[in-house]
Amino acid sequence: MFDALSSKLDVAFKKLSRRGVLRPADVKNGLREIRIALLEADVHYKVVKDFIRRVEEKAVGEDVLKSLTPAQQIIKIVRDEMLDVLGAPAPVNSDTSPTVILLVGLQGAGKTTAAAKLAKKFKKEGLKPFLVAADLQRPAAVDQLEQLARDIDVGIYATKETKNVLNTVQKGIEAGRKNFAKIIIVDTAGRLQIDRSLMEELVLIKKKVSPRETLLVADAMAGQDAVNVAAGFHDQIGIDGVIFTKVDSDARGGALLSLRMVTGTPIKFVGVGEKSDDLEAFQPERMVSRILGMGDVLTLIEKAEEQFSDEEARDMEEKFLKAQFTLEDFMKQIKMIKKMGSLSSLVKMIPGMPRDMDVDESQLIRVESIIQSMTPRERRYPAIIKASRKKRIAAGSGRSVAEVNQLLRQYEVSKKMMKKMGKGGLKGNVPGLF
Amino acid sequence: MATIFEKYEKGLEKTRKGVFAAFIQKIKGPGLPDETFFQEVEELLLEADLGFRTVAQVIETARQKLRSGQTPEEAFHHALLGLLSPSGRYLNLKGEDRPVLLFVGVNGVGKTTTVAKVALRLKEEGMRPLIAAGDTFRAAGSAQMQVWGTKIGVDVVAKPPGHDPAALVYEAIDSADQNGYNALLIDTAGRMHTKKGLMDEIGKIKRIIEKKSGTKPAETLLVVDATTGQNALRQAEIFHDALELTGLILTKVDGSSKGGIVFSLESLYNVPVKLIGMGEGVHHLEMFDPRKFVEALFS
Ligand SMILES: Nc1nc2c(ncn2[C@@H]2O[C@H](COP(=O)(O)OP(=O)(O)OP(=O)(O)O)[C@@H](O)[C@H]2O)c(=O)[nH]1
Ligand SMILES: [Mg+2]
Repeated sequence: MFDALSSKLDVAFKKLSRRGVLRPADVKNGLREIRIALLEADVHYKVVKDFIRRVEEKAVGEDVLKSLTPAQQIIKIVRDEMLDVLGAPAPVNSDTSPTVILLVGLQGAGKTTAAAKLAKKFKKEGLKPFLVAADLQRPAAVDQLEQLARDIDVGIYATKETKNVLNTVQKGIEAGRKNFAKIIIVDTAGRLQIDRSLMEELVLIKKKVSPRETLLVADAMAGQDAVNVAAGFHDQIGIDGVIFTKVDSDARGGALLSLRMVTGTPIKFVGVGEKSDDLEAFQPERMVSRILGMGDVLTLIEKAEEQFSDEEARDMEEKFLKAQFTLEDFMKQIKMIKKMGSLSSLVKMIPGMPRDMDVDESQLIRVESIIQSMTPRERRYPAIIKASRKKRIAAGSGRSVAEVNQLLRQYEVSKKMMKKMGKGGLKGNVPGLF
Repeated sequence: MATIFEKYEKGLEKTRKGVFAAFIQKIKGPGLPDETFFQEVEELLLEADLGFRTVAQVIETARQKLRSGQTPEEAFHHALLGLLSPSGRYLNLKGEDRPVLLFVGVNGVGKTTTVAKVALRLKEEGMRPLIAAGDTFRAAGSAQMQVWGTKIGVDVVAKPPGHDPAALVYEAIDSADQNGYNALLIDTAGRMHTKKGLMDEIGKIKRIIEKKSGTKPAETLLVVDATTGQNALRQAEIFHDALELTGLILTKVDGSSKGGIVFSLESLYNVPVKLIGMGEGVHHLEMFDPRKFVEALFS
């Protein structure tokens, strides 16, 4: 998301580092580039102004002039300032029983999807979630949340009988209580912050049900107006935090800086894809690292760890060591990777990988469909797959024999690789496919 | 005609009272423009999402026009208008037996709602449109389209979730031709332009339309949310690359966002905004008229 911004900053800093000694005028030049980069990244122009002023105050000080590597020094100042703006990580408060979370935001921001993602996250943490479908405005919004609830196997209150939103929210929370839910997540209809009557509806809901957290769901692709939207919601109903969605776009996401700087509201989560797993805790250091192009190994490792249970990991490690890795395991791996979210979002976290690299996710699907067309015996002993079996598998999966061959070759290569790297261990790594 | 214009003007009021109003006040102020003036104009345009480069371009052009004797108002009026595409802004519906209109865009911009709005408009104009509920991916994406279809009294071809959208489109074209519909509107799943697999999928859908109809879709329309910042340029670039867009639809113009991204979009890709969405209601759809758009900013 911040790729372009970081490369812009790179260019700006390269210009700086080409000079031997850094003079205030050089700082000004460098900061000019940063200003442009931030503006192009959709940071609100007032925020940019303020930010640049703060960086300049520090940069033109002695530290920079004394520094041997002025560019590095400025990167650090920019980074520290950004960290300062973004603030400390703030978790969702779940100290009340139940904890009611109210999701609000503009139309199309991603509230319904975020509701399901949050529910799934709490479920994984062992805090029983419950969903309330209170978007009675958009056609089939209730159906959408119902289906998502079914997919992630979480309880839901949904009714199409009424248009009374407050009533629905109240009944929904009651149903959640009866369900012994710990976290009750309320999805609401998208609305413009300038829509008086719809904003009053939210004010009333908030007053009546006193949610523990009211979270603004905001789109990472938003432009300058994000500031007005956030201020509008914050001033009228009071928000406790932001969920920043669609971070899997290539938007530079400057709205993030704006939201924080203007409202002082913490960013709690970021959405990184359409799947219910594609939600990450907001971690300012990592965001800034991303902004500055430092890659994000930690997130990758954390994600991988979460997906491989210890037992599974040990089991596979054993198999790798003995090179008993079968196509069945191969498929398990693919499933895990799919669970981990989109491949491209994972690959982007690996430092050194081109930021705009595309991962062909359809290839995963292809591999999976081929393996699915094999018999269990074939999966365990791929060596028995000869011409006639290949033909059958190809026909069954709707692929060509060449593709089946390619998969078998790929499998052989991975097996050999695993044998070699056996002692390296498995955790945090997905050998064979990368 | 008058009503459409009135509604359009009303919707723009927010824009006018906001940043552009201040902008106009400035350029209408007394005396010759000085550097502070240009700096303020720059900030006002930046806040309207015109983007750094486009703003620089507008100011440069305006400076030239000022030098050649135009008033500040004329100068900026022309500088802004000059960025907009000269292409026609009417939907291409004539000269085709059964025009296909393909609606594409990133997640949540307003595709499904816009399909319903346009379908109703065509129906009201005496056509017999059919809708293909091509979003078989998002939960209840298809159901949403069907609810709209029922509401506006337009038939919808829908398939169960997970159905191949290209196959659905294929069948919808057959269905349209066999049952005497004279326009086909295709809703598609929201897709992030950064996802190659999804961009390939939409390319395939377009090719199927071409193969089946023996001609390109009459309209391939990118739906853009007016609140979008500079990323709209990336969206347009990649979708245009993949699909050869014929038009843009700017939605949520009823919000507080200035929609200034339109200027960069049109000048960069020469794809005209053909319609604008001004609300959630099915009638909240208007023609985009650049003269009125720019004039409304200055009046
Ligand atoms: N205020 C306002 N809201 C709009 C407008 N157009 C669409 N919306 C709302 O924006 C939200 C998203 O619209 P959809 O039509 O579902 O968007 P979509 O692009 O089909 O979304 P996905 O299929 O999920 O990608 C809905 O709540 C719509 O009512 C508009 O012009 N103004
Ligand atoms: Mg849709």
